Amino acid sequence: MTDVVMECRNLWKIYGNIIAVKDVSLEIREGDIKLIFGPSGSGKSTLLRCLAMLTTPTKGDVFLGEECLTKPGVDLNKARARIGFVFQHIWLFHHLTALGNVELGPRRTLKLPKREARERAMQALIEVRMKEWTKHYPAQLSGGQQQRVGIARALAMHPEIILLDEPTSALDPELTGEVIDTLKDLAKKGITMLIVSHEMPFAREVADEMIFFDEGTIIERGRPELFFTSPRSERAKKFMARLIKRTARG
Amino acid sequence: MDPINQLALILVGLPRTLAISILSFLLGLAIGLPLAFIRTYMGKPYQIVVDVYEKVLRGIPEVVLIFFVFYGLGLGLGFPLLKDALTAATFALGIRSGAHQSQIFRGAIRGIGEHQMVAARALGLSRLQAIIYVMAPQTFIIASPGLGSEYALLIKDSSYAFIIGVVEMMRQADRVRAATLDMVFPTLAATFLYILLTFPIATYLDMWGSRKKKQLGL
Amino acid sequence: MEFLIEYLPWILEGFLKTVQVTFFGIIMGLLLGILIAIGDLYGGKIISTIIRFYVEFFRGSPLIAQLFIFYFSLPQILDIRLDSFIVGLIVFALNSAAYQKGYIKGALESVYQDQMTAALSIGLSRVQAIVYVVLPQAMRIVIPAWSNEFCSLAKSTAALLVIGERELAGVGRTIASQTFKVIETYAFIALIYLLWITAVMKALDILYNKVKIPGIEITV
Repeated sequence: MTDVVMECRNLWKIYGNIIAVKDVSLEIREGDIKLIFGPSGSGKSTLLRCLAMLTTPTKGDVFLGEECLTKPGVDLNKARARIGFVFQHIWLFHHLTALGNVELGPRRTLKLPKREARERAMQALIEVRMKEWTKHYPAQLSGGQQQRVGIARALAMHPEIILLDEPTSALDPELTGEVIDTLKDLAKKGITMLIVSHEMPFAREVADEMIFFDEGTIIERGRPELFFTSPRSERAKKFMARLIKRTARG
Repeated sequence: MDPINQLALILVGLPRTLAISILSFLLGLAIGLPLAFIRTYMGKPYQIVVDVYEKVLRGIPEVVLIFFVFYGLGLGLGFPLLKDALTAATFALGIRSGAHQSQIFRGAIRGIGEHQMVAARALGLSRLQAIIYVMAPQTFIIASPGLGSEYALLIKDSSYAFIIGVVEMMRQADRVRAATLDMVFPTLAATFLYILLTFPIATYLDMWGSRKKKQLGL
Repeated sequence: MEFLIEYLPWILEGFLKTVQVTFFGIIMGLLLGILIAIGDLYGGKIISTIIRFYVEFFRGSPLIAQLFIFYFSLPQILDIRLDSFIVGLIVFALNSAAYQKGYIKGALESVYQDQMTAALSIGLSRVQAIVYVVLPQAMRIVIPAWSNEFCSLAKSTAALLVIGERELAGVGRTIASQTFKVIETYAFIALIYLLWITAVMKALDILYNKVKIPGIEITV
């Protein structure tokens, strides 16, 4: 039985009158690649942020390994160093080169000496195939390249898990390919990932489990084939039908 | 007295003009930058303090502030540093510049946006680290035009030190006027000297700022 | 603080002078600023260059220098005598116009293109378009920056004491030197400035919110 890398129990997130996440319990084991999908506004991004403790859950607990992150007095900075996060809108640091962006975490959070931090950063950039672009600024890179640097930024921290919030949604269609290929490489290497995405072909190929999320809760979960052949819930059926129709047309 | 000599005499005041402007700018920077970050990232009580500081120092004329600091705090109450007219003027202009720069930097921070902060925190950086390594460098770049005009403002306002007797350019021009009874040349010469000091700096910083901003896509 | 009571008439007089110069300066500055901005936008190369020099001069030199030029230099050249109050009015009006031209021009430019085209399309002449379509919108955009300019101007009127004009700061200095109650006097004077400037800026704020056109807002 492989270790549980990350877990949430009875997680709730409420903004004023809006319940974004409703009593969600989820566990991710080492080497898992889970994909969360569902209609927009269903709370998927919020869930991810709660797991990374970028937002504080209203109720419920988040566990990273054995450590409970929702307890008071936890060093969240240290915890976040163990969790990699890739944003939908990328959010690279404008004033730093690609290399600078990837080095910053190892250097300042992990407090590695300059040379070691640089080596790690170069490694990560090589892994995402951005070796020639290290001296470039984000503004000089395409969206796909920027996102790859974003992934490298998370990788360089040697995290226990990487959370990806719709990594390709903000990119032009031609550019998503390079990011997806990068993610496939990472999957092959056995990196634990929790991805929110609509990239169905990718899900089919790579994910161990797909989780259909709507209105703040998990409606259905299972192996990808299940969703592509015969989803059990009505909502999932409807969603998949729409999705397939859309991709068939486009 | 021929024009060259007049000009030379006026230039005797240049070092003090520069001293006042540069030092008050630095003081303003040392006050304004932290205040801007405090105002953006810390709780209500801190925000109120910063707001009051800004409001008060922006609502009082420079002249009155300088009088208050020099005649009041310095000569009146005997604060050590403020007894000297030059230091008093620098201090007064410096704390006011702090209020200005606090606003300039705040605008820049707002312009950068929340997401840079979130991305930095996601890497495990503490708030302070995020501010130092991610927010502050970008804040400077965006704020550079505003800082340029703030510096130009300080060069011009250094002339207020003339009123409390500091021997800077304006006072020197006055001396030349008194000596030569020429009301035209010394005044115009001094005026153009000021324009020479303010114009290039403001323009250069503006250009550098715009270029850097475009380069970084800010 | 009671000692100030006997000086109240002086203080009031000084305050009145300050207010007069401020309002004259800001309003004349606005009118002149509009003219200059329009001149800069549509007047052609030569006028633009002249305006450029004018603006650089008033924005790049200290206020005190400008006051001296108009109080000492000009009269010597023209062989006349100018009253310090008049000098104050002239200098602050010209000075303010130089600053106001900047953001008025910015506001006009941001409104101009499309609105002018639309106005022309319904048969208005260029001038009519400016008066009935462009200016009304531009003026609203300008209000926040104008309120900043007011604040600057109101404070800088204190510089008038260098040419001997008895406005509020000058009165303050006289009282302080007579009574030796330096801190109280200057604190009181500062308070008056603070209060009246804040009051007017608040009023401008309310005005701005009243005339605001939804969708046209500008972040300063």
